[in-house]
Amino acid sequence: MKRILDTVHGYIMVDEKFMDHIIDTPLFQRLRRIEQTSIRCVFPSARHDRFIHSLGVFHIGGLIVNQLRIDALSNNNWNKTEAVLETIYGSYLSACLLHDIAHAPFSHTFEKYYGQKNNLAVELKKLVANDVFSNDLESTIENNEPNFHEYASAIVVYKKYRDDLRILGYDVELVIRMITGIYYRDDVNNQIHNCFISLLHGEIFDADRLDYACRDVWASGYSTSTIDLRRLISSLHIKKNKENIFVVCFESNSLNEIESILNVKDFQTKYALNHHVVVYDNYLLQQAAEFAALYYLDDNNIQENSGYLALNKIVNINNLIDEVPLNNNLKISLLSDDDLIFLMKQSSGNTFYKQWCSRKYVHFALWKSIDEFYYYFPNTPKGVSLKNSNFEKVVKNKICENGDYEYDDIQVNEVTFKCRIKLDSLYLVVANEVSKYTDIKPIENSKSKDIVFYYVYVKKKDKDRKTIRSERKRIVESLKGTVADLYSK
Amino acid sequence: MIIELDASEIIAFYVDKTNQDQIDIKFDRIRAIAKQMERSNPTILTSCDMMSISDFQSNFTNNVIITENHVCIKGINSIRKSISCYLPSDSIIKKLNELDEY
Repeated sequence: MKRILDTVHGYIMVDEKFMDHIIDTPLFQRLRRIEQTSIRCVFPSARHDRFIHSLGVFHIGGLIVNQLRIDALSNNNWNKTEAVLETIYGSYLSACLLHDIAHAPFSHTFEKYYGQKNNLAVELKKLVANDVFSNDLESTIENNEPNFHEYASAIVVYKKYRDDLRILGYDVELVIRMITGIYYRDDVNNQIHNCFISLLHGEIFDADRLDYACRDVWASGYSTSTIDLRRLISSLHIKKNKENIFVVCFESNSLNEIESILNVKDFQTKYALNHHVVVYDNYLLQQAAEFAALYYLDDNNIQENSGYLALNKIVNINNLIDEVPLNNNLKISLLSDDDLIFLMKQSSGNTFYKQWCSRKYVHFALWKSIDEFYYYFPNTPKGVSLKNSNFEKVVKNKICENGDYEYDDIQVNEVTFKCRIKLDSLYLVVANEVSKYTDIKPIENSKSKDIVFYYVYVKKKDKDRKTIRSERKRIVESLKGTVADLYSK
Repeated sequence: MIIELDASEIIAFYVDKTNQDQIDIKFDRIRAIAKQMERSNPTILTSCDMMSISDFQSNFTNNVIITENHVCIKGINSIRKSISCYLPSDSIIKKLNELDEY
């Protein structure tokens, strides 16, 4: 048994078999050089990475397994044999370690460069080669799952860790289902499997969310609620609901901990991940990397000189495993944040990189939050998505109409406030009965769906802060009628 | 540059295209054309999940009914003007028209 000291959870105990077959491998060690969050431009101490996060998820997974072992004993092993349960537990712990194995550099900033989900789905189906799995994947796609990096991780697990997992006696397909959130449909025999899938990739709480809720708060330094992880996990059970289906549920006395996690999630969505500086910084980083990719991939076949397609040749699942040849005899393998930084540094004339690395942004935001937007434009509908395909064109036209600015001086970025959590999937044990959280506490409509919103960044003509403030005020005033028209039905 | 296209934009395209006051669109039709769009251009990333389909409904609650496998839009003439802000760009509309006719 190895002991790994972690600032969030204390000592994480890891069995040697996981060290040998998973942790001490190049792909897993690569995660030390993949940023956990994309918020470092605003929260500079958030320097944690996907390596320690994966170990943290494994640690929480271990606490969950220990709690549920006791639960299983008092529930006739949920009608499963011990051997089946041991396979589920081991597969679950492996999936906890491997869930981010193919994460793209810089947190979620570059994951869309893995390519179209339809292609990733086809590749995964081919690898698993199982009709039931393929049908279950199709059902999952209807909910816009899996995410890009989850597809990538599942594919890499299949290609690189399949043999190791088999040696350990674990179920490779189950590990992949846990990573991607592909539940078994219409199969009463797999209800316990589904519970464990939800404990890594749930619509409620899972080991992944629990770790990042604790770790991001600790690393970033922002103060929200504190989460008593052990209290929450000790209230965790697998029981039958009113429809006679085994579900993951929590004792009602853990509601305080559940609320704390929701508060952290809300804060992160609103004030960290969708902070106007974070959104702009990520945009710069993408542009800088695309520029570097075009610079280093002297490829005439790249359609319309597309930076997206050029970077897609570098940020690519196959390139995590193999080497990517670039110009000047350069090669990249085990792609990480460092590689992209190197390429951006070396690509001369990369003005996006210069802005990004100096933080000397050439644009300023017209509003700094969704609340400020509502303040400036009070008649826009509240609590609903503001997605409007004319927004960028109309706003740019208005700002440029008197010739003060060119079209290219204005940058419009769409952001999405992801819904809290699908609370109707959360079960609580109240008076010894399993009930839905939403039956006890109905939720506001706005908290159950994604909300799209726009930031508008305008090129600074003057460095003086006072001048920028008055320019912001002038432009916002001029936009009031235009924005009101956009959202009037 | 990535071009993102979601189900609400595809629904808006079909609603805008029809001359009738009501239209039924099967989810399969939305997903099929989204797949064709991706095949036609590798920089297009589509999402046709239930969330983006119900996004369209939340903007036109009195006109949209979602059932198990299709979305029905009624009273199109009364919302025709508002639909324009949910339409994708002109080049995407052109491509959608080509693929839909095919």
